[in-house]
Amino acid sequence: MLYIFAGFPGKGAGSGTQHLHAGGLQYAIETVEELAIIEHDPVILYRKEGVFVNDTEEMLYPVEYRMSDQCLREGITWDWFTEGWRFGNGLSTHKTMASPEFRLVVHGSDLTLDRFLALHGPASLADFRLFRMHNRTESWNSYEARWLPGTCPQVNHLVHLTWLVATHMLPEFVYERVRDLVERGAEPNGLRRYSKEPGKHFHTNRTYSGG
Amino acid sequence: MTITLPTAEMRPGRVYTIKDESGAAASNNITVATEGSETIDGSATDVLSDNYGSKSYYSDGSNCFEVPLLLGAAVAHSATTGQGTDDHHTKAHTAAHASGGADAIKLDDLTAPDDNTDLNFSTTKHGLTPKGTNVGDFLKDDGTWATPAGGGSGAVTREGGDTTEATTTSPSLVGLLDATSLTMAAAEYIRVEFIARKTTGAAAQANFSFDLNATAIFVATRLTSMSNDQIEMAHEKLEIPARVTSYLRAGTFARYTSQTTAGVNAAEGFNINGHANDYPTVEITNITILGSVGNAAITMGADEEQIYSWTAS
Repeated sequence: MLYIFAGFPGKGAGSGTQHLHAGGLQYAIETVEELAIIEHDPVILYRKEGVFVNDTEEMLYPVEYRMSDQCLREGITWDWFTEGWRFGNGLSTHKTMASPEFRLVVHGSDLTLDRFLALHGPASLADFRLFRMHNRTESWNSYEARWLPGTCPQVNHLVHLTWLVATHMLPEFVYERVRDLVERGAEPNGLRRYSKEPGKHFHTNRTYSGG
Repeated sequence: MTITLPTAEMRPGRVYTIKDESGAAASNNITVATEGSETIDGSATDVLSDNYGSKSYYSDGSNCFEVPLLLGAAVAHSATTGQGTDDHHTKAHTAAHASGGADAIKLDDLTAPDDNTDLNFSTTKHGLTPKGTNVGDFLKDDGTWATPAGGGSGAVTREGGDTTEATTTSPSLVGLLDATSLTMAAAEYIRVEFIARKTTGAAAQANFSFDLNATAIFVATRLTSMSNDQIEMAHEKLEIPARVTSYLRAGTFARYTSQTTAGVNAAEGFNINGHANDYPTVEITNITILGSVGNAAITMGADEEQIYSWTAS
């Protein structure tokens, strides 16, 4: 059973703060708060198309999934995931970024100024209005197609997701608790039970520095 | 405070002057009012709000009016003896317009220049920046535009990347980093770099693979050591050749080095695994780094995926 949440634990928190990563969240769910048993069988592979025996094409059964309401609010539905998308199993935090590209074109056409002049010959610059339009690559088109109508971002946009694969369907209170940890920034219970080893259960938030 | 003028019926033509002798009218306005429904210039009241300001009022027998200020007659520019309408005064005024002067002019308030190059900077004088060329050149210190060395064919271009850590505890490969909106044609060579780490928890390795446009190219190959239960960090470099018909199963050059926190060389090697699929020949727009762990008790993280390309011809 696949559960998908919007965001990372600690997404949006300040630089330098410590937050659970996938391993820490797994420890919280399985050991500290004893909420669920997570699927760790290495031969089990959750993909968009179904549950497979690892890398072979042998499908075991269709994938059962549940998505947080917050995903829908952020424009992420099941259709948002591309064919062949691998969810693996266990617990994962995933990030992707859409970066629409722009080019300067002569207003009313999709020609750059150089191209326009090459086609139409000399003209007075005062007669031109230039327009900054999205340079829609195949990737951007396919990314855009994955968003709900009206919710597609037209600017650089980060998508943070956390998902877990559990052996069984989980009761609602478990789902709610994980939502608290991932989407609402709740503090994990029993903090003293987590390892002091650097990076073992927590990672440090960084400030995004461009790129 | 409020001062009420005597009723206008009393003395038509008489002038009353209100003056702020305290010099505090700006903060304590003086309101001038009238009796009954009489008005001052059509309004019920008037206000003195200038320090040491004064106003005078007269009545016409019904209402009050402010006495107009009497100023000296304005002298037209052209009326100055010996000056024509468009002639300039002879008075020297450089100091007034210079920085700190009484009538200083800000450089960015001047009218936009035309295409005159007289004031451009050079190796002998300060000056304006020469007109741009919009071809990606840089401005040299002699005042000319020049093409950067190494530009054009063969230059390495950064295409994109993904720079927030993603983590997993999955023993099956799962997408972690995803560089999107790339534009790399079949003839371009591609380099992908990223960093990875694993936690303690078991004597198991971290593995990775990658997808080009959602086509799985690699099968999982190890990224870090499996001999010890230790923290490790790794640097992975992939080089993807030009994707040309009949050469589509060419091996990706992949090299990793991994170190423990103590700086011990934990693992290094080349990828010698076979590819799962041919390279796609279409434009590459998306490169996803996938990861998995050898044991669910450890966590693998990947970060700083960077994509570069270059074209030989």
